[in-house]
Amino acid sequence: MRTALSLLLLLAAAYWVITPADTAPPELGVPTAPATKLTTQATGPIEYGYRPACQGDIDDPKTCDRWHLVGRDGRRWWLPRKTGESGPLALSPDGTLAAYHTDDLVIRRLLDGKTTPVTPRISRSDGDTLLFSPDVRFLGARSGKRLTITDLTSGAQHRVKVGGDDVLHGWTAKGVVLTTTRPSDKIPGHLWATDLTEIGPDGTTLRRVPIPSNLADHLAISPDGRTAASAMSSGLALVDLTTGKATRSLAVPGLRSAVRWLGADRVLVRTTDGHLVVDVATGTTHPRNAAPDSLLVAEALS
Amino acid sequence: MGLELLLVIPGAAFLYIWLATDNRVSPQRLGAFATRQRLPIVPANGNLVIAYLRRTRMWRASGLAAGLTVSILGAALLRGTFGLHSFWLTTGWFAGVLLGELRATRTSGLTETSRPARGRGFALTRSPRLTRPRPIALAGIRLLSPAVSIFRSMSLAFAAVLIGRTVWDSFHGRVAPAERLWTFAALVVALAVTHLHSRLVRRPIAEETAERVAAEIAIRSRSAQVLATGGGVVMVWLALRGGSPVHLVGALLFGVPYPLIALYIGTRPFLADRAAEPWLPRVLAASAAAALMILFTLPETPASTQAVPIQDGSFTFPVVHAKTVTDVTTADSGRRTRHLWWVLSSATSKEPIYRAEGTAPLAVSGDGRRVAFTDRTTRKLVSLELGSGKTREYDGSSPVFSADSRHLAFLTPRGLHLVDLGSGHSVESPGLARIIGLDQDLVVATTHPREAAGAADTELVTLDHRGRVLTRVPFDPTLHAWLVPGGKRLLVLTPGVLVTMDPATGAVLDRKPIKSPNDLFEVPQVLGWKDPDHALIRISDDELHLLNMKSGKVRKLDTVAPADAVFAKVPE
Repeated sequence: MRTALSLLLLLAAAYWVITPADTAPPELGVPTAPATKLTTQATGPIEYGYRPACQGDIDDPKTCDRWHLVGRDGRRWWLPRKTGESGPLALSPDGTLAAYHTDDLVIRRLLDGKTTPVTPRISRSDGDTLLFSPDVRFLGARSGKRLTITDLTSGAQHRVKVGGDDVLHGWTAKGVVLTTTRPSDKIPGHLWATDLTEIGPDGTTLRRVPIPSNLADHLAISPDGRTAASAMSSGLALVDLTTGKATRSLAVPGLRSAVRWLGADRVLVRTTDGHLVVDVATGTTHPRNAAPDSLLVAEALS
Repeated sequence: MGLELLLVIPGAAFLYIWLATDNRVSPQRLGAFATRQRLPIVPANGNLVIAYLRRTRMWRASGLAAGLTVSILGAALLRGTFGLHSFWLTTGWFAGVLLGELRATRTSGLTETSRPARGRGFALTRSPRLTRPRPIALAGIRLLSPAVSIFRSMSLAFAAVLIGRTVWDSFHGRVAPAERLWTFAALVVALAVTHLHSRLVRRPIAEETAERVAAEIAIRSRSAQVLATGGGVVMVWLALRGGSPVHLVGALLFGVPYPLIALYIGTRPFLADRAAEPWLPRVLAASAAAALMILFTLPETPASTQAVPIQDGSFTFPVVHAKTVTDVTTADSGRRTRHLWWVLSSATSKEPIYRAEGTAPLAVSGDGRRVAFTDRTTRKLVSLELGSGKTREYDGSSPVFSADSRHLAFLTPRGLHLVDLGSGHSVESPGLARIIGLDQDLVVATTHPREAAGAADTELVTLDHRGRVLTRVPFDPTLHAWLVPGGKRLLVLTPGVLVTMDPATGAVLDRKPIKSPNDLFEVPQVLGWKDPDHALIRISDDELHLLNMKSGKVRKLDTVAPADAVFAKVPE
């Protein structure tokens, strides 16, 4: 009887050990499942990519200096990243292309492993941003004070001069969107003014709309270009890009950033508890299982 | 590091092989056993004891060598240092003890493998079902000395409380997987020790000569003593690794004294006899141990708040600043308590002039005669008049005094409260959530709290002291803004730019770069004012600077102050 009770107690304790009631998040910088180096080709489109949040002097550089890619079939891959460099990674919305810097800016076709450098060469600088257009025809690359839009089918490039502090936010169906913030004394109660600019693939300015500077930090632009979602500490603000006014706000506890729109009414957001999809029509949210340990989620989340 | 490993690893390997294979039992060791167990060694029982010592030596030494290896390799691989950790040595040795005892159940000389007789009555009971050799039930024989018996009960109680605390914590917060594993290991050791002790007591002995039966009882007593003392130490150490918050006294007790006590009482001479083992001392000891461990693991209780003038009110006003200091007191019981004090400093006194328990006050009035703080016990917002000691209590937070100390504004979930400290009369302005500043006849506030980044517009509101709203304008809630004395301007700071703004219209009045000797990566914080053109600011750490709002120049002050210091008057 005593032996049976002891065994029962041990079994309960073993269950307690292996099933924590409050599961701790994975260790920073450690992929949640074994990843293999993407040497040739992925088995399918990539769902999302991220750079591990590593502490440089603690975590293993071998694990940290990688881009982690998670396929739609759940398989994990990694691409090498230059040690100590924080260059960007872009994934095309269909999950078949990746753009990143090696010595040059390259585009890798993930399904056949072919890597092509972008030419003419695009110089690098801090704060580079890379973004594929929704139809995967164009790649927008902001480097320093220059925005280069490359036509991936013809190889044609259009270069546009931008401000050094301009922020590239995303693509609409018509063009790439960036914001320019500058000191201004014209708006009561504000120190800055922000303009949102949409630039077509040929480098022409399609429109320029003033928007609230305090909502311009991290915008996700809707595919139709009519609305921008901006993350506030209290929730998601929706800015009408026709008028430039904030029209609605949706409560999302622990909101950190708006990642991107997943269609006409859904916005993928990152919160302190992970990723959520916010239905902006109804205000409802549901979890989106994506890279809980990511520092930066790249594109390609469908 | 590599050289140490080259020397230590072969050494550990040699030690392991030597200890595990050396079959000699020295006369001294045999003598020590005879002394400890008060057993006369005679030819009839000598071999029995020698076989026991040989077997236990092999297992315990193997465990010790394994612990030694883990300790050295762990330190070398994880920290790149050379280390001999008593935890691993002891745990390894005790793992050998456990394995040796488990093996002993099958191999010891006088063990009868048939089922033991039940019951607690002490007798060399003969089983009528068996022929030769006949089993003898040991139930009732006292295998443990009284001291070890009490130590065992206390260890089990200590471990039980620690294990229970960790399990409790796991349902109310996070317990790391490693801490769960240590707790599980502690439970395994506790159960193994209990189980093996029970088997030592209950396993029958074949009926043989009196000398050999006495030797077998002595052997079991030795095993039980080692299990109780070594197991007690190891189970508590393992349970301590479960992450329970144990006060310093507790940690010190279990670090060195506990194993030394175990070693001492476990090696004292003791003769296993037929005396009944009294249960009352064990129960009392276990209860006391459990209570002690609960005390050790309780969170430190905050002390009550009581403001105490240090210098009997003879100090000189105005107060310069208030800050938090920490000291640690040790009670007669040895328990250490950390105290938080806030102290007030005067412009004319080097020593603090006033102190009270708790964290720093939230605000000091401009004339230095009033402070506002949160009472740690009641959680009320307290306004304290330093000269008279008079206090007023409010339900609120974020207090701000007017420069003339006549008014106090604070926030509640409903809005802003403005109190006339002379008459005690107060007015409420609903819907306000941030106080920008308070002047002689003006209150400036916003309708939403300050936001770190990314926030929709709030409203900048000015009110008079009767709570009447004078103006409302849109306002960027991410701005760091302070009301300049005089009430005509807001000072808005960014990491490199100084801006003044009209609080009534929100219009930018002036904008100039901050000329600082330090690079500004963060927004400087305004702590107080010397005059309407000079703000006391903190740029980083403890350093204080004076910002000239006309020129934008920043001058470093000699005074330093901790992060939570609040100021009534700018120090010079």
